[in-house]
This record gives sequence, structure tokens and C-alpha cells, in this order.
Amino acid sequence: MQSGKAMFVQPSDLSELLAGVLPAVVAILDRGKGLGAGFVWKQEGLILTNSHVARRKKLEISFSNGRSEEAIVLARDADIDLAVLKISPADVPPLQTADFSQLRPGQLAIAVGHPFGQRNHLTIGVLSAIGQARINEKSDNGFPVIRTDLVLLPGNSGGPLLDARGRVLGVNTMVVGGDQGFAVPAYLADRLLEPVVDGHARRRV
Amino acid sequence: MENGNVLEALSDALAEAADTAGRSTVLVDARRRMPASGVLIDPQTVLTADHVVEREDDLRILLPGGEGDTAVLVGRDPGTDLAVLRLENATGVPATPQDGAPRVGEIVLALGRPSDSGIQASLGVVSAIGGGIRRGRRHPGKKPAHSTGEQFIRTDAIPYPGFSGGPLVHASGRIVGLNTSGLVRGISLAIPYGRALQVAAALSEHGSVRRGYLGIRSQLAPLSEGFQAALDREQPTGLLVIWVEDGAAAANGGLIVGDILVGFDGEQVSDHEELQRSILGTEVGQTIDLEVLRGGEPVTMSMVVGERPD
Repeated sequence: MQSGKAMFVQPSDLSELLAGVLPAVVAILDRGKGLGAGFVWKQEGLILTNSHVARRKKLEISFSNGRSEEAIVLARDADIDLAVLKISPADVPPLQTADFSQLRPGQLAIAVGHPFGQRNHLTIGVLSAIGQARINEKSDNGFPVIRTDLVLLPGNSGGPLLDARGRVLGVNTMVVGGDQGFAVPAYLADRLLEPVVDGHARRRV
Repeated sequence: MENGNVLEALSDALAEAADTAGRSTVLVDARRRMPASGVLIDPQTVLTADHVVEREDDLRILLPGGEGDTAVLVGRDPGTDLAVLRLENATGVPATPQDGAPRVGEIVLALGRPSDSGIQASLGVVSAIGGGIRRGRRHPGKKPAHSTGEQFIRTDAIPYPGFSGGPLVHASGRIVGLNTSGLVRGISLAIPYGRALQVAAALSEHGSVRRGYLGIRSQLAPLSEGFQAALDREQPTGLLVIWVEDGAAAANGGLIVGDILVGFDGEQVSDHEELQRSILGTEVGQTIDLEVLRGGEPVTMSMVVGERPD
């Protein structure tokens, strides 16, 4: 299952896909209460989730095998609703990331998360469109978002949006009008990470 | 499947289908709110939903390649919620219809092009195929829609704003229906593409659809065992004729109040929906045979189908 730095999945059905990605999917808890989802994103113990589920400096991370870790919030960007967390053991292989430029409307889109606290639920639909969004109304800067027809629920926030091979397309972020799922492309998180790696966590809170 | 990767193959097929059908899906700007969608049925003819055409002038079309053009309204039919527009200058790639009727359970994509940022998709399955679920909210100033016995494809695909007039697409990229969501709140409906093309042909030729008309009112009536024996077949119900319009097709053909309608051109008629479907399949001016029970005896009479008044 593991090759190079990232986890490769060759699923023949959805249960295999889920089994392939679950080791890297986490629940993010606040004092034992479910907040949202996240996933291992980089080899260095880095976890990607939504900014709005990572409001505290330290959070409890729970893996699907029951293991718990304390994570610190390295960087947050409320404008694009992304946050990078770090756990000290870096032994869980990260999910592979899909090439954003290759995304096509109609391709399968699969969300894994914990809707209403139910762990590791899978939801399937298709990518509706690549759109532009301003999550922060004060900001004039648009950024790309992945629109899907997935019905996302509280607890899906921060979880991975995957393609048919289990590669990460984006971070499930918000629901618009009840029937449109939004995900922030995972590559946008790179801009949070760069200053962190340099030791200058510009967006750190 | 090679590599066992069925999911990736399905994903690729769906994306390919969206791309293929998307090349024949245009943006239709003919109302005040956000634009809707349409399908090219030949290089210059756009089929769209009637309810998204709120004005008859200044109809603007955006083709998949990014080219814009104006269009003229050729004809519209609120009964099926279809309208035909003709591009004034530009030409596009016509859609390929799927052969045969869609089947319940088939995976489909609903597509739309409500903005200039590309084709949009939503996934579903064919939930049901049927008629009689039209209860439209209509625009102020327009006649309310009434049931015409038309068949619809119901899917569980989410009908996003602006998807009306867009195609319902099979995984092959061929078109099975035209989205008409907006008729019934919360339910995604499409008109079978074959029927949509029939209506489009009628609209192109006459500017309207001439629906067959008999000029009767009827109510469902149980058929006694004796009646069924007289018919020499099992048919538990027929339609008791309770009113015949003077001068209309049925009256001219000799039908009278009290007759029980049991057959239409060799097909059994046991309820209103079957009668509606039979009439819909005829053309104005066509001669048909009605089978009725009169005084308990089967009688067949010929009549010329009239045109349904608006």
C-alpha cells in the first residue's frame, strides 16, 4: 500500500478505498467532544483540517485504530478555512494528493468524515464544478473551490475529499444552500506551511 | 477490470460523459435571474425548458467554446416545459441521443451551464419513470400547467439552479432526457429525450404542439364479470363516459354518454392515464378505433382525432 512518501490506493470498490485511507483520517476532538475531521497530509506528522475546527492551540486527535495524540495548531488561515496541525510521532503515512489541474466535472468525489459524530462515514457524489469563493466577506481575493453534489453534515468539516483512487482533492469545508458541498483545494494549504517550515508562522494564532 | 480499479473507470467515464455532453450544452440567458441551460439538437437549434424563457426578445446563448450569440424563439410548449430557440449566426455541436428508453436504477448525470465558468454536474440514478406528477408553480401572467399525460424521468440528482434545460446524460455521454426541474419543488424531473425531440420537431414546424383530443369526460368504472366475459379478456376497469362535447371528435364518431371506454386502437384502456398516453401517441387528424361497451356489448367505432384546445 505504501510507496515513496505517500499512500497509494488501488481500490476495486468503496470499502477497499475506505480501508486504504482510514489509517490517515482523524477525528479532531475538543475535551472529548467531536469537532470535525482531518487527515494526515505530510510525512512530518502534519495534519490538515478546517480552520473553524481548530480554534484552540492544542487539540486531541483520534485515529481510526483508537490511538489518540495531542496536536498543536501550527498555522491557520480563516480566509480559506484551513489549518495545519502537528503531532509529534510522524509514523502515519500521509494520503496522496491529486493534481488539482486535472480535475474534471463529473468525476467521482468521495468524502470521509464523522457526520454528527458518527465515525468514518463515506459519502459519494461527483465533482460539480470548480468555482471561486470568498469565505471571508471582507476579503476581495477569490480562490478556487471544488463544488460537489455531496450532502455534507456537521462533522464532515476538515475531512478529505477524495478521488476514485483515494487521492486528496480538497478539504471538505462548508455546505451552501443545504445541497452543495464545498471543498478547499489541498494545495492551497502549502501557503500556510511554507512560513511554518521557515520558522516564521505568519498566520499562526 | 484491469487492476481491479472499477471506481477509477467509473469516475473517468462520468467525467468523459460530462465533457462529451457538455460540448452540446449551452447557456441560455432569457430571464431576469441567473441564466439556465439548453441542448443543441442540431448545429443551430437549441432545446431548452419553457419556464426559463421569460422574455421573447434579446435571447442570449453562450456556446461551450465561449462564443456568444443571440437567438430567436421558434416555439414553446408549457405542457412539456420545452422551448426551441434558433441561433442567429453561430453553430455548435449537436448532442447524441441515447438509444432506447432509460431504465430505473441507471446511473445518470444532470448537467447545466448556468455560468461562463464551465459545465456543471450532479450525479443520480433514475428513480422512476412515470407521468401525472406535474403540479407546476407558474410565472405570473402565464397559464397554469395542467397534466397532459406526458411521461417524465425522475432522478435523485440534485437540480442546481440553472440546470433547467440542460441534459440528463447516460454514462456513455449520450443524452437520455432534458432537465425540467422547477416544475415540482424538490424533485428532479427530465423529459425523455426522444419525446423532447418529437416536441421540438412539432415546435419547429408549427410553433406549437398539437395534442390529440377526443372531447369526453369519463370516470373510472369497474367491469363486472359479465362485461369482462363479453370482452373475452380480463380487464377489471374501464372509463364510463359522462360527458361528450358537441362537435368534437368523440361525438362525431358516435360516442354517447353511458358508453364504457375499454380500448383505444387495439390497446386496452383501463384508467385515465392509459387513455392519456394513448391520445398523446396520436396525431391530430389521424383515424383511430375506440372500443366501448354499450349495453354490455362490445362495439368498435372509428373517429378522427381532433386538436386539444388551449
